[in-house]
Amino acid sequence: MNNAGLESSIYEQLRGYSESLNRYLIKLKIEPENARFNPPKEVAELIQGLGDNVPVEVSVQLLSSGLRERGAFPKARVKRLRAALDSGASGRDTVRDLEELAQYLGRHQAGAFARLRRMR
Amino acid sequence: MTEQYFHATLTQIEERAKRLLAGVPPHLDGMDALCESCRRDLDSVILGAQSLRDDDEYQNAAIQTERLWLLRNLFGQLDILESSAVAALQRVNIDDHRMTRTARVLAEECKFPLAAPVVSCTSQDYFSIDTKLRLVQIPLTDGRHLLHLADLAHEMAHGLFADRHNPKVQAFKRALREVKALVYAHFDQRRKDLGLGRSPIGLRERTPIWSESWLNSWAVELFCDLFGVFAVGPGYGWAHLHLCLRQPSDSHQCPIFDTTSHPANAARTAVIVDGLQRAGFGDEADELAAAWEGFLNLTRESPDADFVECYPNKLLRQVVDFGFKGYKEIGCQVVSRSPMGKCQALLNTAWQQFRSDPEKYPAWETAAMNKFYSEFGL
Repeated sequence: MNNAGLESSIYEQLRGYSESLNRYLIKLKIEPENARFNPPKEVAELIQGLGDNVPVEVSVQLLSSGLRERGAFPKARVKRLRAALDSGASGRDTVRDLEELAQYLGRHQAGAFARLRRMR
Repeated sequence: MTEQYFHATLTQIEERAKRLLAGVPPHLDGMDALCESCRRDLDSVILGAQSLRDDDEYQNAAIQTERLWLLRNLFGQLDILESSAVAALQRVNIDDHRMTRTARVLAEECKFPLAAPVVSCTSQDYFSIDTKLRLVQIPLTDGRHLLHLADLAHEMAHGLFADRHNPKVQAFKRALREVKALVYAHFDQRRKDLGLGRSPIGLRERTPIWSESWLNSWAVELFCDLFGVFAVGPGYGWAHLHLCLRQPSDSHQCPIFDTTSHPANAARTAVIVDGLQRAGFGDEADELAAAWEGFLNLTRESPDADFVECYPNKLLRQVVDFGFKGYKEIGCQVVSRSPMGKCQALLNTAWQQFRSDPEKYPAWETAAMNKFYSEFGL
């Protein structure tokens, strides 16, 4: 058995998170007043999962280990980001954090896509 | 990147998606759900491309990086649709219909909580599934044989982990999470213990790789194996052993430098054997365990000290406990010796026939498949 099933789930979930996160970033940049208090459920779910030792979703698990390995987004930073989004106090730092997260998400997505394509 | 580039590329995506959309058959017996998913996804690609190209908000210079990611997502979605589902739908033949029917009957027999996948004999590798489209791809000629079809259940199980919010699958995912919590606690404790005193060379460095492998993928793969055992029965175990014989591999592999996607075959076999016992197939489990030992004698393989560190017996047993619990909690029915469903019986009898009278097996297989599929007009 190959691992296309797992990779397919990972890629599709990452694509969903990436879509939501990038759309949210666009909103934050274009209309910050309207967007900052309402992070989409998917973005909130992703950030919550990253703060968990054993995330439920296979894609968040992989992203979380990748971030830990690179020393990026330690738990404290995830916690800060989550608190900022929850409280609606998101400013430039939050946007920068989300931009960085979107980059990491994109890299993992690219990795999952490459693994998936090699299998097809 | 210039606006003209975005404009031209997005127009190309739109045109490509429209061409693919025109190639999706309006109706295919037993595969309408896949046709519909393709149409819906292609439609969303078209709308996405038009929006990214034409909507005013995307012209803003400050958000071009995000716009590029969204464009890449459209490309990714389109590439996957084109190379798997649309390609499969454009060449559907009798084998595809037969295999799709097999998956559907098996899903009914084990009370699979999701729609059964469509199966296409277009894989260039082994069995695989696109969990979003629920499309299983198997090699070209595997649709003519029975011995590996038990693996369809493994692929179907992957679909249970793909869905993020469907309440019908949450219990299975919760069971997996329980296992992952145990894995995390075990290796965290092991890391602390190893830090206290002298330990074998490199063990401290390898432990985090094993922990990550367990958390990232091994636990999922073992759960999918268990799903196969509980849905099909001993035939799943024999199909696994057959695959181990076919492919060169290190049966007790413990990764050293990087994580791997699948646990070692010896660990998978241990879980399958334990799962068979749990499902009430004690004799068959013993037979499979003995055959596995025979296989190891043949390949002259034996575990080293790392193996028990990497795959602790206790964890493997806990995987089976939670896998069994999760399987039942999502309402799936564990295969039983009698009465066995028609598809389950076919897959298990195939292995009995193959093992007891291999010479006559090909003729038996052809006759058994014709009889099974004739009931469905296939």
